[in-house]
Amino acid sequence: MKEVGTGAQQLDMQSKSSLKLVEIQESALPEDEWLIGISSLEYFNGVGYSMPLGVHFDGNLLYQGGLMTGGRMTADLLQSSNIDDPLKFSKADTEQDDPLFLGTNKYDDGILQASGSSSEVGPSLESGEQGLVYKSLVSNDDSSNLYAFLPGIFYCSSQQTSVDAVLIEVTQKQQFGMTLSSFRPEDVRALDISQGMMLDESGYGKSVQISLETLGSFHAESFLKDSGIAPEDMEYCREIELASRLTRWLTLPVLKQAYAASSFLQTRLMKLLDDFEFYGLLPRKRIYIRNEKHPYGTVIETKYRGLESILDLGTHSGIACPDEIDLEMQLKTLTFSKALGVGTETDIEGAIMDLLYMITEVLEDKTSKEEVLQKFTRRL
Amino acid sequence: MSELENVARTIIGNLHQSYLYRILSEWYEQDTLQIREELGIESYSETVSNSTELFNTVRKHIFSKAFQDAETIKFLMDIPDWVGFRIDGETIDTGEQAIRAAKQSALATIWLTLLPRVLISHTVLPEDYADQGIEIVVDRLLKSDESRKVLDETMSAELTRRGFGTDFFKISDIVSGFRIDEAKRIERLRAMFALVLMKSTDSPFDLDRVFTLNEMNLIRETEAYIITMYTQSTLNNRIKGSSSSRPFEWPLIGNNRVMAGVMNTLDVMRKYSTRMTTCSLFKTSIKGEDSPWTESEFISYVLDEIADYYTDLLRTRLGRNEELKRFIDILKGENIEIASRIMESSDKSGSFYDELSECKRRARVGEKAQITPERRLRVVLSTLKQSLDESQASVVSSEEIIDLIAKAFDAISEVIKKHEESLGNDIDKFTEELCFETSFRILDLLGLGIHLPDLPWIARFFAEESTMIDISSGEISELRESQRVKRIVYAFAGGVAFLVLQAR
Repeated sequence: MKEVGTGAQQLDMQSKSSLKLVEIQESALPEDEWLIGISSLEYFNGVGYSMPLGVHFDGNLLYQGGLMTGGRMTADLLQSSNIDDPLKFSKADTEQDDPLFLGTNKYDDGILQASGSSSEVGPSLESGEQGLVYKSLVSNDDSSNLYAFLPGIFYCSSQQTSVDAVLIEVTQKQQFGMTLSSFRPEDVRALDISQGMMLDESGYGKSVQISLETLGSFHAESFLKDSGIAPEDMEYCREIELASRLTRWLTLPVLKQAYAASSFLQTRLMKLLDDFEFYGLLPRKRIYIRNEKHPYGTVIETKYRGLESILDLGTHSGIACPDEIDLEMQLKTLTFSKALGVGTETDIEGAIMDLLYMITEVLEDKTSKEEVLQKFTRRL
Repeated sequence: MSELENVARTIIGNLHQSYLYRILSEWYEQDTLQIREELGIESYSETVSNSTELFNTVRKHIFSKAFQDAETIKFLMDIPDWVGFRIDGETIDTGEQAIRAAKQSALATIWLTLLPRVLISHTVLPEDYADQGIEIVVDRLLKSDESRKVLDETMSAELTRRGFGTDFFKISDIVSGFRIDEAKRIERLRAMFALVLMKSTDSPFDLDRVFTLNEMNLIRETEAYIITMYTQSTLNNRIKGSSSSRPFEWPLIGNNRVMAGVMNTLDVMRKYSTRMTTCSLFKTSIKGEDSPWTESEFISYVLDEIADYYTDLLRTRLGRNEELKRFIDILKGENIEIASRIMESSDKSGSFYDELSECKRRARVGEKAQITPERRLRVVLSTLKQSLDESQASVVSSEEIIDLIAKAFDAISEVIKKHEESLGNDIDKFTEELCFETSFRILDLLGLGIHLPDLPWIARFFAEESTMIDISSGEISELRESQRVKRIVYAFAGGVAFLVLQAR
């Protein structure tokens, strides 16, 4: 029951200003997955990170020489919110590969305590059916389970549905001296827009307040057409040509307005707004997840036991994933340090509930497209 | 005749070559009344409300007549303050005093920036630079008030013989109108003299590290800056040639004698540039540790300089010349291999010429540079770095930079294409990462690192708008899928190009 109201009053004050349109962009290409939603980047001081145990980075993370050096992940991890010792391997982890230790040492790991059931605690091997499930999960689990987590209502383009949170397993590997990471903190950013830019009849740009009508009104095409240069005469690729033409007309802040009024942004924003209008502020009971099992990302059904226990007066808590029991095991152990509200530790369900509460408070049941758009694009 | 008198005679003999000297003599003739008129300062009777302001206005005015670039003017205006001197309101109480003090200080400063450039006559060979008395002059300038007085007197004696007043050369006047705590005076004034001299050699220096040098090291350091400057300009002249002989005028590629001269200059340059401990040039920085260039890195540097000279030639005079273009590509692309072959030879200058001849032969028969895409990327990035290092970034044209950006990103496409198979499923991620990394380097070189957080949305914006154009022209097809890598690379190229052009 606690989870629902975690520090609700205390959250209240900060939440109003910290909720924003947030964009998760992981590819430069428009056809790839994009996630856009309402979230708070202050709740976790950026994105939440969790790494309970059994962390397994690709073994060749150390520099091996190669064509290039670079990659950003390592440095960024250290700066992010709650990952104090990203590369400190637990003792249990080093023993994990040794089959002789299976079923004995595992009970010290804390993962079993976290299950909330007393039957698995203690060094007993006759722990019953459920214990065996756990044991096999633990012993098979040499995959990484460092997750990046962002609660909030997001619209996922490829699944065409909205979710309560985004969870991405963080893995790294080395390729030609470059560190490739499954998730980069800088891909997440506030979509801080209030004005759009449109061209009037004479071709001059003007700034306009973002509204349903002005979304999608900008097209860069005319900048190339007007110049009268045929594609085959272009000295460089079209993107550079476009950049050199646009820079004559638009400064960086105005380019941002053009971006805000671009038709691609319109498409993704409208989907999110439609969804708000349709579902309102009810929990979606779905989260977006990308991990080893779902490398391209998927949406899975969830249940929030804390929420339901209000109704059936049960005592279980924590997120449940009816379709993926092994995932549920993984997710239940994750904790995150938050920067907003009371208490420092929270779990996935707690954070999702906090964010839903914040969004409800801010929108006050006004969930029409116009109202939501206005709320999150108006300059305060 | 004393050695100092000898040097003074050389200096004065060389003065006519200097543009600054003409400025100096013009200002020397101007009295305070004329300066007032020129600056539109009202008559004597009017009380000067702020003599400090007047003092600064006159200094700035004189400096801006002498120097073209704003950065030097700002440096010269600020340097007394940096080392700890403050404008002395008491000695420049009246407008008249302020103008006179400003003139004295500005003229002495200009003298000081001019001196390093007239210490050595054009006919002196690099191997003899060390014997030209540079150290003596630097020593007199930096040591003490007394030593500066000796220099003033020696110079004035020479100048008087040529009809100038005895107060024309008064280098000690450099802080006229300023004051400082007596205890700090000697040391700070020394630092100021050294810094102005270093500044006039155009080599960048680390201000804080200059302050930590003691007297002896500071003199040695300053001398190294000056001799390095001479070797640089000699090297340039050897490559550029004179009106009567241009040894690298394509299709000429030098000869044994010219290369011997180049290598001699290089030896002296290497000897003195490694003595510069406060300068970032001629050093390789690995993991934050600087180490001086090796001999083969200096040879690489000359190869680059020669390639740059040909590039200029191609751009400004020759127009399209495929053979020369290939020649430049080979020089740039195989720079390191060529340099290491020259190093191995016992006759370096002979082998240098042989290498150039071989490159030319290969360029003539249409051979392309043996160069991997990775190397091409590095070459483009280092070319970009060089062109920004050498001249101040503002001098390099936007077109040139955009050209380099386009080349850098084209090289990325090639790198990816080459490793397509081994990258497998990671190809997109790798492309994005490499683009981001390269973008960061380019933006950082141009001092635009702060815009990096904007790059992802800008790149995506360009990718989207470009896709829109395809869609609206009906060209959307399965091609787009196979062009993913190219499209990612182009998106970043567009983003970087926008940010770079925006800053200009």
